[in-house]
Amino acid sequence: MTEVALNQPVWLEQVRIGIAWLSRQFALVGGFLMLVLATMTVISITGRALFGTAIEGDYELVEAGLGITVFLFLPEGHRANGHVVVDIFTNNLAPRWVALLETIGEAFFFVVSVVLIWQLTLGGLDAYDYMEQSMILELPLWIVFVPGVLSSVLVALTSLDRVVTFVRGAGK
Amino acid sequence: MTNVELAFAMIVLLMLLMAMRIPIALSMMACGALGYGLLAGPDSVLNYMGTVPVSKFSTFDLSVVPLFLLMGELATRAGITRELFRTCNVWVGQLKGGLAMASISGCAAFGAICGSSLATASTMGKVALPEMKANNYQAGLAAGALAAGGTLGILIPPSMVLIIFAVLTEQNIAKMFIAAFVPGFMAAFGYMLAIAIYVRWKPESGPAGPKTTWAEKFRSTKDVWHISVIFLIVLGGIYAGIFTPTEAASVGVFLTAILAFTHGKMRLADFRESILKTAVSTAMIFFILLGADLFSVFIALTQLPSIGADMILAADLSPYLVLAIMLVTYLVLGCFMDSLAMILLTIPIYYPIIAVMDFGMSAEDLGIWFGIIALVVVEVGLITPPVGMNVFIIKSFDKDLQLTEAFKGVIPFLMSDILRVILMIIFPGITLWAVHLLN
Repeated sequence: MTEVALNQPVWLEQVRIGIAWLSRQFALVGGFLMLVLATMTVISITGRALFGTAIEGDYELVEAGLGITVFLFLPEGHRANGHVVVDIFTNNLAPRWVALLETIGEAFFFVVSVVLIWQLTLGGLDAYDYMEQSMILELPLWIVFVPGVLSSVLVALTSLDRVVTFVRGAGK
Repeated sequence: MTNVELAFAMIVLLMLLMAMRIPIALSMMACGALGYGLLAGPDSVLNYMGTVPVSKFSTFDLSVVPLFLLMGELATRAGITRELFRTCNVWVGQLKGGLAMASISGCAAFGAICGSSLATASTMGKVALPEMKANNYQAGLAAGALAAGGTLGILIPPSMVLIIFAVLTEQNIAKMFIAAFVPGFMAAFGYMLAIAIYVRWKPESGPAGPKTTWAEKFRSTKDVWHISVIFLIVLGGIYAGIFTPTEAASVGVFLTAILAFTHGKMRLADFRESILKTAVSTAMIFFILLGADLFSVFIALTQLPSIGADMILAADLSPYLVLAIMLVTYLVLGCFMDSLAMILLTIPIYYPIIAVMDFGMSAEDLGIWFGIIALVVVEVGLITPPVGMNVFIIKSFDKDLQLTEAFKGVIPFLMSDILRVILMIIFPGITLWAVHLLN
């Protein structure tokens, strides 16, 4: 869709680059977190096998940590268009129509991510207010909602940008 | 409109949206939200969106998904496929069609540490395709062997589709992995047999390689010690019940990372690339997972599965006929859908129906047996036209390869697949004996 992205102010381009950069950083942070958790698990298993003591609550850390990781991975997945799409029925359409259908998809994504921002914020506040926490380590549950909301913001912005770019291009 | 009519209306709408290039995850989410909202009110949908993503994404059983994806990603950078292929070739290369058989066995071995079909087809294809070309192999046979071999990546555990199936149906992942092991190796053996028969019929398609001695054969196995060690620790640990699949995957990430950095000479930039690729495929799976979950919540609310099951029971249809119909729908859907999406979409409807049918086995056995058969059948879609992702991957390595020739080359392997599925249906023991043995 780059061919229609003409005559746009410089700041918009910079915002766009910024969103893409943030999406990648989110993914890298998620990957780093995953490696830390994998290493912790290996240490815990070794401890269990050799010394009879595992890291306490390692399951809970992995659960919550990989939940956070998955959320952090979403914006990069969306940015890179890593969605599974059935394309054989529309491959012979003119590029313009394909772009329209893809934009409808992006508009859907925008709506879904706005609902997610809204509802995950409420859900996270609930979890905070009621001090929901894990069984052993008493990890507060709201920390998983935070990357959920932030990632949804990035997905929403990426979709919005794609929809607006398409509509502006169509208007010309 | 009755609930069942609503369910059917949403299924039709879902098919329409998907055909219109709306991502599968979104199509399921939209139809699920609409149906759920109509039945239970919009507040229920909003509530769902505010709680379920968090509880779904931080499920211990699903934590294994990104870990195994990263492990597979690192395995492709470990620089082990060339040695794997060479060793297999020392063992079987002297037979007619030996290089193709070496590709299959190489894929099987790689599949034992990688849970993705495409990754297996592409890493092995890069190494084996030029070899087969240089030795005047028929292009169709070469492409067919690699495309079919790629499916071993997912048939032989670890397997992404199996993990998702286990989570959906609340089966034990470790038991599913154990159950998949024998059918997976049967697949590899069946593919090699298909090659042997094919080259007997058309001897010029796959000339035999030079003879090797037993001493050379045994010497060559030391080149693949690393993959053997990883396999023994990771999968062996799961099979022996020493650790959970999530722990095993953590160990696997750790070991393959070491191998990729040392043996594969991976650099930090490549490592970064592996993580980003893992992020994209993880996001893809979890987007679909969320959409499919919302859709299945709606379907469960309409009671379509239980009404369908009652109707089928009342009609007194043979359970095997019902199973056959389901498997045929997989073949049809497989013509345009990804295997994971197919499982996520159909299992919430199919599984409750299968669960009430009498196949003469316990509920747990039935779940495992059905899961493995479904896995084999959905993977067939990867090598059949028009989508056949594995075939397209192989084609991308060889510009001269004609698509029709490649799909023709797949036929012997397809026949082997069909035969295997029939055997697995007639003899559930093939799938279940190992599970019973280890219990």
